[in-house]
Amino acid sequence: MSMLRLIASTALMNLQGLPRRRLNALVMIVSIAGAVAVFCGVLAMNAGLDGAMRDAGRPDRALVLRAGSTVEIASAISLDDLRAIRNSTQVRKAADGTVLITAEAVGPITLVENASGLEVNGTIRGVGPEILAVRPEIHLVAGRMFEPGKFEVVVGRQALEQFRGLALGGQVAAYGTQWKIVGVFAAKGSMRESELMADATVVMDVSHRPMFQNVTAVLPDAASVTGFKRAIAANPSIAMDVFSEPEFLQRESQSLNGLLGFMAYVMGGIMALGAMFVAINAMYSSIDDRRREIATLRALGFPPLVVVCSIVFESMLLALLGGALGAALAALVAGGRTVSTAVGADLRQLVFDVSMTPPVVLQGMAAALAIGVLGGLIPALRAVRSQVVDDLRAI
Amino acid sequence: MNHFLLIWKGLWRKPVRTALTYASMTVAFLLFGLLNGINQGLDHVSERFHLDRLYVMNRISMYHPLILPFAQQVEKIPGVEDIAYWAYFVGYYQRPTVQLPIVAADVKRMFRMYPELRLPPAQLQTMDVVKSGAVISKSLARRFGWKIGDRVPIKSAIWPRKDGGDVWYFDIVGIYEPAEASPALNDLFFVNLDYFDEARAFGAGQVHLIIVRVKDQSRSGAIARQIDELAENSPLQTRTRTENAYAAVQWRQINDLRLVGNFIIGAVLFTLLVVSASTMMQSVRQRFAELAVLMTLGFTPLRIAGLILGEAVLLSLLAAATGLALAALAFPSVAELFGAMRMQPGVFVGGLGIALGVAAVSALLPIVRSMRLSLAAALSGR
Repeated sequence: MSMLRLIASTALMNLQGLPRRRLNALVMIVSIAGAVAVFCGVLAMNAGLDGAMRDAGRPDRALVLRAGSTVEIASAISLDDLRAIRNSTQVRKAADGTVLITAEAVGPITLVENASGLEVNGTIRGVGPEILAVRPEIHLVAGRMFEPGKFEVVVGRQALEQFRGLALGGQVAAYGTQWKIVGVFAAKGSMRESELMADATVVMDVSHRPMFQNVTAVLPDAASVTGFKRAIAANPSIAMDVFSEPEFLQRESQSLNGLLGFMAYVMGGIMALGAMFVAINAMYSSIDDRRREIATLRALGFPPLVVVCSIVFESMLLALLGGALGAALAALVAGGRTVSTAVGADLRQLVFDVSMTPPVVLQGMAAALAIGVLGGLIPALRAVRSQVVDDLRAI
Repeated sequence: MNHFLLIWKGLWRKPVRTALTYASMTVAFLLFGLLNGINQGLDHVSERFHLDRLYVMNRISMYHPLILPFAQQVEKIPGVEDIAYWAYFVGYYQRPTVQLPIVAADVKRMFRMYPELRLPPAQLQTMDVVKSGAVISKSLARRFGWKIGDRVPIKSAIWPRKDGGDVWYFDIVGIYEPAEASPALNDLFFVNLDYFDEARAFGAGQVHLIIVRVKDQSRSGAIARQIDELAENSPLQTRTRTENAYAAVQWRQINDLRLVGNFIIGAVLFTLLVVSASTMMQSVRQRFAELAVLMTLGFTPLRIAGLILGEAVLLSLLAAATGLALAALAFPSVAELFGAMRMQPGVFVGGLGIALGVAAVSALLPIVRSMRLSLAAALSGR
């Protein structure tokens, strides 16, 4: 107990001398803030991407695509296949008796992005009337749902903001006709919000492709996905791949996740290494300035552990300050921004928000803390290993 | 020489501090080298775009087909020098997760269209003889350990064969190497379109991309419009883009990430400046007494300033040289993420320029302080 009190009082004494060493402290804070800002900023992008892709998936929802389809658009599922798939598993029923399975027809379209003026790969997704029951996260925020059999679309919230010429009540040209925009929907920030939805039969009709691209089913629980996979694999009349929704979405965002991971962990890691050198340097020279002070403490009989702890404490405190500054900087620069980029092998346009989630901030602070501890520990150990007599004589 | 010795001794007066500053600055230059290397590599590729090449695809999406007769019509447009085309062959090797970028093309036309793809002429000739032949990129060959003469089974989910199978066998007859990174061509697996058309159960005559070379680059815009007008009243409407517009779509992710890279460069450079400046500041402040001695010995203020500047420049250049050398070493493995590209000489020039700039700025304040030095006070250690 007295040890702790000793450490606390020594640390307090160190901190009181801090204003004299403010330049060192400042350099350390700035360099750690830089590293943490980069790390947090990129991680926040990744968190936003995960929010739109991975986290949007429910583990009890399964997607079926034709075997070997890298991209949704490459998949083709006939009505016969659909029947066989439906018979392969137990599908959950909604309270009103709707069987929670739906088949979707994906129609790629070219859209123009507002910000860059670039043509990007957009999607009109043809869905059945049961879509809202299968995907309860989708709900209309304006207008009404499309009417079956008509050239009507509802537009995702992000798509409405990011793509040129989309407005409620307006029209969008695709597949040689004009589609009336009758509603706007939200889908909890998932990738669907970057898309347009219309009636499946109409989409298959205009694209001259009487095939569905995926079948989505809600199973009784997440564990039944394995059974579903086995049942489909055992059926010789169909060749289909079954994914749980999180698996499927992760596959789509893999390459972007990889690039962001590279930016965060490789680039951020190198930056953290640099910040660590700066921290060691700063602590080393602030200890150097206090050689006599520290030697006096040791001569008075303060145990080395107390001296080391008090130095590491100061270093940690400065590092955390830098970390907080960095996280705040990242939140200021990147937080709340919208990223619009292409994902998946078919380069579909995805719009997502950069989100500074608590885990992101926590990771940034943990990195700062690690830099602080290492940065303080190395010079501190050096300080208590030198000769007290030499240090006392030092100028 | 005397001056250099003085600078060198001054630099290593506090070896630990100098070494640590050097290490952190080296890391900063390493990061700068890598990120700027990627940036300039991408710029370099975009500068080399062939603006006489146009890319024609179905207006609905890149996955919707065009037809060969349309390609022949395009070839007849006055001002069009040559065309090439390909059809996507979506397939995988061994496991569904190992997707291969396979395109079925008239390979003769393809390699005529892209002189920057290097393929020995004899290997190109072999494609004529071996119907099931394939020409693959060097990086694909390396990744799978394939060599000429290997037979590769590819399973296709989309394209069944007329004989009912869905496994295609291709014989590797050639390996090409891109002289420079080009949009979407670095890493392809070319097979014969004739063979594909003969053997596929449906879809013969469909292609997904037509590449057009125009005789006069300045007329490429007009010809692009002409192609789209030609298709306007047919069932398959087209969208014709120039090579840089096409690349902008293909490289969307990477280009978007460049913005992030630029933020990092900014943060790195700022930190670099702070670190270097503070070290110089401390280093000079601790040596005021020595500087005063030199002044008393008759060193002019200009020479003192030269010594301080020299020290900053030396440290900064040493760190820059090491950091950029490390970056050049690590670059090939990093660049693999972004397609083939080389470290541009501009990166080194820029890096050394920044090193000099950082040195000058960080020497400024210490020089001003030492000029105002009161000799008597400094000598008496006050």
